[in-house]
Amino acid sequence: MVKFLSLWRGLGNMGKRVFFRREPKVSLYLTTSMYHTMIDILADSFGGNYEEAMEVMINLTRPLSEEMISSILFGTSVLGMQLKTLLSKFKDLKDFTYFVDLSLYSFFGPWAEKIFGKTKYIPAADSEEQVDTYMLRLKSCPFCYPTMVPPEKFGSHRFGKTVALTVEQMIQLSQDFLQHDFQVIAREVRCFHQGDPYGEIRVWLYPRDKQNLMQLNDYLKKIK
Amino acid sequence: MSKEKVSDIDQAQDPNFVKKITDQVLKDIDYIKNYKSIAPKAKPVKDYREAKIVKAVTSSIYPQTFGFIAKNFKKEETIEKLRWMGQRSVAIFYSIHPQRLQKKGGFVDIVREIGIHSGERVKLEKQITKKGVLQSCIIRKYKCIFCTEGYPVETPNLFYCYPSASFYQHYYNIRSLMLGNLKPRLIFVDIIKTAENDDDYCLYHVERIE
Repeated sequence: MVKFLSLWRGLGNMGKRVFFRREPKVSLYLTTSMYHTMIDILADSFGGNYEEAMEVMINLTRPLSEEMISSILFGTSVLGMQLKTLLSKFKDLKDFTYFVDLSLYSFFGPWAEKIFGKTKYIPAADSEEQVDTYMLRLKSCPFCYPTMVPPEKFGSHRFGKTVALTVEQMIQLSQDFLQHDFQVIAREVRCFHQGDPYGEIRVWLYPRDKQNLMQLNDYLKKIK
Repeated sequence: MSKEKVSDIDQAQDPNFVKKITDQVLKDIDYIKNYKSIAPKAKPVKDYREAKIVKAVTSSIYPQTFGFIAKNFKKEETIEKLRWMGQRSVAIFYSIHPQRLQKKGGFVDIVREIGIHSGERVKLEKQITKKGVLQSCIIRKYKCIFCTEGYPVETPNLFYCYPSASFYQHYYNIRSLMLGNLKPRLIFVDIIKTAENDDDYCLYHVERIE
């Protein structure tokens, strides 16, 4: 079984490079500049209220973002292999970390390794929140680096909310495909913009019949 | 995404048109010079200047923001906001990527440079020059960052890529006033048509204003 997984990983590693090479790309500087501008223009429309602007932007973006991730996950084929076929090989929650890292590489190319550390899996028994958890460490962050807006203006939102949302939706769609009955929630619990020395996205997989456990999660009370 | 041009800021009607553009450029030069990141540790030692991201991942925010603005503001105001969006992006772009400000090169080099960052394929056509100085030209743009391979929102009688047109304009104008020796000194970029599908192209009209 382990041998087969290594084979799939090998194919996946090749596929992610081919995918990144062939897809149309935009400079990260340009992307982050535009991201800032969208937040600025929405904040301007709400009298300089950045918290409301983030709220509106997330609500506006969520459905389209889900559609976009879904089309990448289930409509992409590289080297004659469908991405969803590869996904089905990493059904085990522990092995699934590989698929998270592969997806990040597919989006950011080699820069994924400069931005993100390797995804860690924390089993429910070891997690403070008592549910299976993924931890993504950000070593650098192209999204919050350019900002000159103080973090307190964002209230309970974090600047990189859309990154956390993308990760959340990617894991949710994957887990749905794998027929795991989870409600996936992601939050950026540490952020350079907030003064932390590194960024961190935590992803909690709440079993649908244990959603009451969310009430025990202090991060969800503090961060939107 | 409509292709019909019905409303625009009519520069000829406004006697302060050039002054307004100059003021905006100078204001943003000031912003760039005074820029200081609030999260300096977020940048790695080797910065992001070569870094790229797959375009499909980035395409979910603009269409909805565009739709929101178009729905909540009058047409003229919407155009103004969309143009401002392009200008603001340039100011932030140069702030975090100041090496670009010192890069030498004329109009053609600058337009190509934008194409490299945006992934757009750009051709210059109908260039009219006077004593070697560009007076006007047409930018034919394939793979527009907003109009192709995205999720456009249907909004009648409004061009979809105003931010891109004003990005070209402001990117050139800031560089020009920073370097101080470019000719033309200032340009205005307007949209003639936008791409209707992924194989189509956008056309921008570039005019020397100073």
